[in-house]
Amino acid sequence: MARFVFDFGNARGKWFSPKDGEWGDFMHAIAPLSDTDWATVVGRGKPPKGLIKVNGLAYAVGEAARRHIIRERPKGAARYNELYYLPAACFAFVEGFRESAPVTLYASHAPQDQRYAGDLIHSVKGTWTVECQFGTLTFDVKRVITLDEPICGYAHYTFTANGEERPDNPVADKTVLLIDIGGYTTDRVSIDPGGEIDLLSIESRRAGTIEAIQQFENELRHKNRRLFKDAGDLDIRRVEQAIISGVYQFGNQSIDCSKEAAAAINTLVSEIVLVINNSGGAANYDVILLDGGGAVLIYDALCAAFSNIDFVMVEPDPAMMKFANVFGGAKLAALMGKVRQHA
Amino acid sequence: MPRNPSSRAVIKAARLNPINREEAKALAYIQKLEGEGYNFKEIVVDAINRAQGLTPEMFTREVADESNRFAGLVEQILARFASELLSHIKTGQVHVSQNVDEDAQRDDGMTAFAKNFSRGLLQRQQMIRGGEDDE
Repeated sequence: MARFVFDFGNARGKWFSPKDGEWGDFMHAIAPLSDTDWATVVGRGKPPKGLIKVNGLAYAVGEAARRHIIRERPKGAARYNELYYLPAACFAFVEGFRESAPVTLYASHAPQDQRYAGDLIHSVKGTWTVECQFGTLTFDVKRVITLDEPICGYAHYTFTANGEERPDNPVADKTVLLIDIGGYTTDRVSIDPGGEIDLLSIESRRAGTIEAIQQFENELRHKNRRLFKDAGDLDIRRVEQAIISGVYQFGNQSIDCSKEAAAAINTLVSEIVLVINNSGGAANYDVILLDGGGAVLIYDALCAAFSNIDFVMVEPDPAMMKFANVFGGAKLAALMGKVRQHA
Repeated sequence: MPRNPSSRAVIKAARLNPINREEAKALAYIQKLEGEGYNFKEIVVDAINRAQGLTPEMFTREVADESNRFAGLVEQILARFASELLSHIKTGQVHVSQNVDEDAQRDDGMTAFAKNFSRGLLQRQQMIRGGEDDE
């Protein structure tokens, strides 16, 4: 049975296959396709990447569905169903396995979605025949285990891939607040010395990078109306880079957008400060661990705002930060395996 | 009952002011016990438990009570077998751990930290209901 970790975030879906050490991500975009659409694009050949049929129903997923980005993502039970979560998960299986496989799925979610964990399990558990670029594959999802995203982030920082405590764990005896800054939600969990999870502290707040990034993009476009007149969708990676550097590279022209970037970062930092205050205040923690794609954007600003607090990113490589939760999920899977062995 | 129940933030912040005589006493007590290796949470939990007439673990560690039955039992066993144990250790028949972590890992390869964390994780899974695929 192959373990597979999947994090269907608001901005991107991320996956990790521990067995092969493969990981990847795709844009959060899903569009159901009619048989006519399918026949037009696929015909009798193999479908291109991103076009899949799950038990006969056709979808475009990820970049292939970029024209169908859903502005208002479905929430709760509406999201965790066979027409939405399942095609996203199956697309991730296709990318991760490239062949048929029996699967144990570790699915991470925001803490606010805990009440929908049952819906998530029902939506993806079963045997699925997937027509894709690699032919017709079968994924037999036998077990589904749901995980809280901020706990995954903490596990990524404190455990090894084998599910063992990392050597010289720097936060073993520290009171830690972990903040996971995602696209639409910011989640938190407090961990007391000795690795004791404060179960009542696990919470989500509706604040994330997407709003700040949209604010930045709108102001950038407004200030440079002529330049951006015919520009289509901006690549999110370029926009994020512009927020970090204060310069947007438009072809061979460098546009100074430091003011707009500072405004966007301040918006997000204010939200995170609220999260910290709601967790008891920065003074009550030895270390604040940062997780999620948003952490990269505001790390420097947060350090400047709280010079006395140790902020640590759970993943040292900013480019890999978005995968911290799926890597942490795999570490939790290994830890749970150990616990089961000795139970 | 207070007029308004304390919010979690208030409890967590617990700003003790040394100008207030009672709070200063509490602060001194906390500082003393922290010096002995206990953290704030342990001190609060044990103090509340003691106020309720319970006998928390910390006090059994803190106070060397000769009437403690368990301690007495250990003492008797040691008195009876100490020399035998020492000879086993000297001949290498008993492995003596070099540090606390090694002790903690002996049973199942997991450190105390990993055990604590996994216990919390499993409790959370139970809270979620269905977090573990239980069908």
